[in-house]
Amino acid sequence: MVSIDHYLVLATFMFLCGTLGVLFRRNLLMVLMSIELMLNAVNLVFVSGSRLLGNLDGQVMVFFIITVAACEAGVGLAMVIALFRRYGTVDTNFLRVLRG
Amino acid sequence: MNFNIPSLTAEFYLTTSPVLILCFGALVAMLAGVSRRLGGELVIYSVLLLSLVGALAAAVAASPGVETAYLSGSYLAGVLSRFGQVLILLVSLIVTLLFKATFLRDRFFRGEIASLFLMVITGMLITVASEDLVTLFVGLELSSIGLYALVGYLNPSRRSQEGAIKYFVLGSFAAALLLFGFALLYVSTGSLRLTEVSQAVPKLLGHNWVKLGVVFSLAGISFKLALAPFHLWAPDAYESAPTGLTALMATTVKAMVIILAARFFAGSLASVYEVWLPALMFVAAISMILGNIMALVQSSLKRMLAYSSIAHSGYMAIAICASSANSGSLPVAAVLYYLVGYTIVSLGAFSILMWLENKDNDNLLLDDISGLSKTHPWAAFGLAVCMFSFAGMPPTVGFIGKFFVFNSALINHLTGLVLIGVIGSSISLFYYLRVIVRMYMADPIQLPTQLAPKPSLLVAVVIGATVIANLALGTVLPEAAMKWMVETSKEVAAAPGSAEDSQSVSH
Repeated sequence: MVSIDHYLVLATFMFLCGTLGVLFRRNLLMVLMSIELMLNAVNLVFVSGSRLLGNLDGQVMVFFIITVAACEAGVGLAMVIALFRRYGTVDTNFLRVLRG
Repeated sequence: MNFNIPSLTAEFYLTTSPVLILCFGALVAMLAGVSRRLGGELVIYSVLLLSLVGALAAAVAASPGVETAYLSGSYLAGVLSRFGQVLILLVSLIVTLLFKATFLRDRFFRGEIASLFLMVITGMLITVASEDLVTLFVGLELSSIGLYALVGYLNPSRRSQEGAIKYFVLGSFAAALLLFGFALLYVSTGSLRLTEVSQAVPKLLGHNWVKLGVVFSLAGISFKLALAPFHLWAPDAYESAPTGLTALMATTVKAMVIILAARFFAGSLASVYEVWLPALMFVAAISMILGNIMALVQSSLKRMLAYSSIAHSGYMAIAICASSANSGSLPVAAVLYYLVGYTIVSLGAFSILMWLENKDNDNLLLDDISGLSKTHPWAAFGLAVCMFSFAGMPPTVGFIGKFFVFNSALINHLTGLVLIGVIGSSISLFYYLRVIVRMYMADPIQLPTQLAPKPSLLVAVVIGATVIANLALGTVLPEAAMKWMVETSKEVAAAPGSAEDSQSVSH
């Protein structure tokens, strides 16, 4: 029998994978994808919760999260492209003018 | 079965009119920006001013009386919402006016940028008035995503592109943490409304998922508030952004998140404070120590103010910690008082920096303002008052604000935190006074381009107004203002009434 805990553990695992990706990946595109992975872990929690509780609030929230994630990806990719066209790199090690 | 028909009444439209006016203004600005004939600086400037003034008037005129929830409890009209909205709109109006006096004026007053700017403000207004996790999230992201774009786009240099990317990555990361917390709270309590969550949470304390949800929400909010150790984005974003936007980040964004945190922790989760109190006390203490120590070694003024803002977030977090233990509305009132004071002082400091900057020097160093009292005596005086107030010297608002915050914490037996706060403030004296010493006791240095060669009436008015407000709130007004803040913060703990209860229809 699959209980809610199984879903939550899976989602937490996905979320941690995303977190590690954001923290340790050196490629900005990979960082963006890791953030998407984190948001999808959140979506999984909302959908399974919605199914468990039998109310639709979670499903509605997922639609909002998907939309906002799309906007975020749009702005993020625009920034990465601007960086790449100007400096020819998407490596996070390049971002070190600001420090201290 | 009961269905709630959304109450799209005239009253609803009146209450939400600040948000609607700003949305409309954003659309007009975007459309005008496309047209070659209408997209001029003057048109965009008037659209910005008209929509901000209109929204401000609408927010002031909305008479809240009793706190009322609209749209099935998503939008909350009340004294606290109105307080936040008026504060945010006033500051953004002043920032818009100030952009007219800076070297960025031909870039700022363009359709797409004005539209983004208005959308950011809209998001903030929605966030401070939201009682539902969906609205809260959408409002928060509307303001954050707009700001990421503005930071990178307003003045594209390598520095601001880099700052924008760091701000973006860490901001989205914070949003994901916050959402994960919300999701776990939803699974455990079965609701996305803050009042229902707060009723359900105490019974569920045995479950680890609930605790995890509270902790993740705390981490997300700390990120947005730039509390250490989640502060890494703040110095980079503050330094790289054009100074007008830095002013916006330090004042309105902070106000939005503080009001959100007050609603969330002091309101909804106050009954389970034993879960979040140790964590929040830890981040508050670390922020006060780290923010003040790191500010000591900065040479850039904006970066120094960024670290100082981390420390100030720590002071405000003390009062939120104090509001956990059945303490009434005094601690939240203290936070609001501190917030108003901090907003006024930051606005003053950043508006002076904005005015002094020019195209070749958009990130002033401490050395650049040496001998400012000889070249720009009034700007130096204004900045000195701001620095005294940041440091918490009487008779400024900074002193009274710190007094209220520490007092509310002492009443609730948080002596350790107050001690760290006092030590932190005494460290901070060093770097704030260093600015004053450099302005008044050093000789002017020769800069390649002169700072702010021509006087500006507008800047003078803004500086004068912030100095007067600062001293007034520090000397004659505290008692009256604090009484008002206590009234404003009363509704944080109380559950709102619903406008739709009377209209639910049975089928």
